[in-house]
Amino acid sequence: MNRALIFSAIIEDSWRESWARRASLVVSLIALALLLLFAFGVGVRLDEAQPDLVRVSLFGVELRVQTVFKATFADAVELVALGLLNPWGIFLGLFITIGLFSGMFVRGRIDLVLSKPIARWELYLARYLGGVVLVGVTTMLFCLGVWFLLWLKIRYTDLGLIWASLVLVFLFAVLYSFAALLALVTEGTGAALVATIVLWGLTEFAYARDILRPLSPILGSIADALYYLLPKTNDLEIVTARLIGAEQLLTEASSEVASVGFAFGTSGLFALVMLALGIFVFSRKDY
Amino acid sequence: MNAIEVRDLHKTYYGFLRRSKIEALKGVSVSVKQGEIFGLLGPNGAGKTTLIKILLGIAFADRGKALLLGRDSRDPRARLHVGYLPEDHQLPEYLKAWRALDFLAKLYGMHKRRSRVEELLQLVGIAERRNSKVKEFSKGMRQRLGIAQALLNNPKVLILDEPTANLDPLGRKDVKDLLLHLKDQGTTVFISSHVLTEIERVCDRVAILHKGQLLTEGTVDELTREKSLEDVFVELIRGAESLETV
Ligand SMILES: Nc1ncnc2c1ncn2[C@@H]1O[C@H](COP(=O)(O)OP(=O)(O)O)[C@@H](O)[C@H]1O
Ligand SMILES: [Mg+2]
Repeated sequence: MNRALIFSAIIEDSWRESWARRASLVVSLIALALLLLFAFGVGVRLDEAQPDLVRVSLFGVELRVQTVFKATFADAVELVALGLLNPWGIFLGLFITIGLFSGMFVRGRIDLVLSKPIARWELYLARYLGGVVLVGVTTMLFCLGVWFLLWLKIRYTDLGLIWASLVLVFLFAVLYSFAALLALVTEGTGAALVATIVLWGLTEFAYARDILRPLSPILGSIADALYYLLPKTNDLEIVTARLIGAEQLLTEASSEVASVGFAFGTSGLFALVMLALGIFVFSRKDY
Repeated sequence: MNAIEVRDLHKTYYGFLRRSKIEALKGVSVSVKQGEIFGLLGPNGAGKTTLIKILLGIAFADRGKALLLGRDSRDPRARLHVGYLPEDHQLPEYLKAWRALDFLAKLYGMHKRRSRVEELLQLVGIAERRNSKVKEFSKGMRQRLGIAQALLNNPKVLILDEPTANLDPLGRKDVKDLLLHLKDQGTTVFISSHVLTEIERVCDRVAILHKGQLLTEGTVDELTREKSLEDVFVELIRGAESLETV
């Protein structure tokens, strides 16, 4: 019972801090502006003769393409939303939550918390979850907004975007587990952010293993090792595209996922290892 | 069972890549009985804060034992009935005063908090500013809020690190009165200070710490039979330093 109270208190505190520091406000305003842009900037006229087709206008100017399928229109909108969230939304989320995370682990501030009857792993995990909840709720609300506007405009009911947003939150949580460990070790925000971006880049690099192997066996082996150890960012991205039913819009070569279970499993394992390492280091750290 | 039990505590801080080291505690033993007001005195850098942080599980000793109410200080449950005022604390700036207290009370697992928070805001004299953000508070008000958060759980053991540092004379008088009030209730108080006169009168026993070692320990009466505590303090520390230079 107490543990639930402690976790919810720390998660709520992350939330309040983020709003008080205006970070959440800025992100929410950006998301709101994008939704308004879609709501009022993109007009849709249903084709009377054929209920599957729509005419699309941008700021009142009708597009030259005469009509498109409803489903194609929805896929395009969802793909734009996904493209904004990954990588830009995730990047913004990391930027904000790394600051929140490292801000807690400062002498003078952390003393007040550590002197309470809570264990180090509880504090570390709760603060990590605070960041995940913050980014998760914002992402979900944005996707719900897009979904709702699609429903208003063309009575679209497919929930693919909502499921895809959950996958993106998972991807964020994986990257954030690494960022949190680095923020703890370097006692700051900048280095942790840079290192996380580098990690992200490396996970993408690992996908070049099939191209690299014939060129240089060493580079190929490095890419192989990275592929098996690191989170499967690219696979997860493809999964999100599949969920919105837009994989045909991806190029042939990049639309293959080794195995969805493998992608989620190894990425989740990576996050668990990072969290365990973070807790291990934190549990031995003097403040 | 003693309220606080510290046995042969050693702590060395290492610099980056162990290129420098500071021996903050070199085998300190202290015990504080329940209901006592205990003063840990010593100049800046003596190791007072280090000792306190080890007691609370905020830092870890290299060697020795630290027990709070009979529990090892590494065990979070050791802190259930303990209140702590850190030396340079930063309360959450972005919260209102009452909410900062409410947040910290939740970390004690307290389910009914409202009346306790209100009571403490009254006790430390900042009740009329309950809805102000902590960032608008002066140093003195922050210190008062810090004292309030240390009392949230009605602690059996209260640990105060330089509690009067940011307070004006009126505030110091308030702290002294508060300590006497808590003593009446049977609370054990462990208080560190590098300023002497203001706390010697309320302490049952004091110990003098210098460069990580205890120089002396005893009741205030014992130590001040011939000289003032201040003279004892200065002499002991001068003595320790001249020994070192020899
Ligand atoms: N986190 C730390 N890292 C390195 N040295 C430290 C740290 N904390 C304290 N010290 C050193 O340990 C010694 C004792 O410090 P402290 O316990 O704060 O003394 P006091 O509270 O009596 O002023 C000082 O020399 C101080 O510089
Ligand atoms: Mg100190």
